[in-house]
Amino acid sequence: MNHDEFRAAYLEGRLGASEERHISGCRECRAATAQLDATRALLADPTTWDEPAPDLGERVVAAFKRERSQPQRPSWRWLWVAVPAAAAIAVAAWVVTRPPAPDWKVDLPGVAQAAQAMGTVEGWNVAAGTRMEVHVDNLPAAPAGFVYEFWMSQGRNHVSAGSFIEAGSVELVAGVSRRDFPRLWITMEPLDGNTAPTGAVVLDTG
Amino acid sequence: MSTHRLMQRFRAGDPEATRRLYDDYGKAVFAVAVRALGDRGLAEEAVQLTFLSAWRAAESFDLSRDPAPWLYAIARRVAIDLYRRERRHRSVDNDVEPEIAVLPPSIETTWEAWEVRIALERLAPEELEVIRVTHYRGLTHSEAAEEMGVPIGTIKSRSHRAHKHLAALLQHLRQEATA
Repeated sequence: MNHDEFRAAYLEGRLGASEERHISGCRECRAATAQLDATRALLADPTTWDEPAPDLGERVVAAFKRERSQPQRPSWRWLWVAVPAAAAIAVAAWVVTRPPAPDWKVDLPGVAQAAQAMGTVEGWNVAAGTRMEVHVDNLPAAPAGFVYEFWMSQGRNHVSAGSFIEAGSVELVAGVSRRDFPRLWITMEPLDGNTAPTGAVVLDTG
Repeated sequence: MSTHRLMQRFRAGDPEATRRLYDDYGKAVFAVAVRALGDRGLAEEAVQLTFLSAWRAAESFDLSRDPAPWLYAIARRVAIDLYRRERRHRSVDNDVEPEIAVLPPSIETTWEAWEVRIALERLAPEELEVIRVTHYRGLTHSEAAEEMGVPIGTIKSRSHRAHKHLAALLQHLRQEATA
């Protein structure tokens, strides 16, 4: 019996003598049984089989058509010319106080064992270096004793911009520019006092 | 239509592409939402918001990538936002300070639920049915054969084929778990 046959049988709940013999001698399949049990639980879970109303697809398309038909917002330059003075003052206040648009934005794809993870990085060039807002999804929380660490690199030169422990949004600052350190990547680092990137790479611009 | 072409047309605002994307992923998005929110009405609202959000973000989507993880991330974020919105509404009604950063309790299992639902959609209809009646409804092979009006041997071979197919589709989950 090979791995695929065992796993199909286990998923089906069909464990006979040959399956028992296989699992007793195969560490890989023994390790896989926890995930297979979780899958079986999901297959028995009513929420897995719950389906939306039959007309939801039409409602999604209708909402999409309404969104698409919205008029384009005028540029702020046009507003300076067209609106009355009081409204123009309000627009000026908004322009002065709104957060500036990032100087750059890049996707941060998941790699290897974290292929399902994904992220984006928005960066602002500041006097102290680079300020970044990092958004990461689909990354499990770092296990005890580990953190996710964000790196900016040029070749073998690495600068850490900070660390976090779970998916979401974080604000980080590095004392270097992206122009000089273009590679952006995230590793899972052990809390061992080592300041170099030694852990598994989870997201990477390459 | 290739996935690349589908996403290109979706990005360009083609309603047919939106419908096709919904047909491919709508049930999986719903599975994530209903698991996170525990309410069908909210889950359907989440599905609509997910596809709208996806279209708004489509300009930055890399057409060379699989859209499934990207859509899942959007669905997850929409579900979290709706969950927190509902909690804020309930907090106002009950005059209690809301917990802004709280996550839905079952949010961590939504990735696997998404993957299982995507895999189920890729089974042949008779494979999907035998999986559903045996796992969800708990029927034995002989009970399933009687209900579906086919010989028990047919049910056994369908079940074997369906589980082999499903195990192959979900193999990457085991690789992630054991990494």
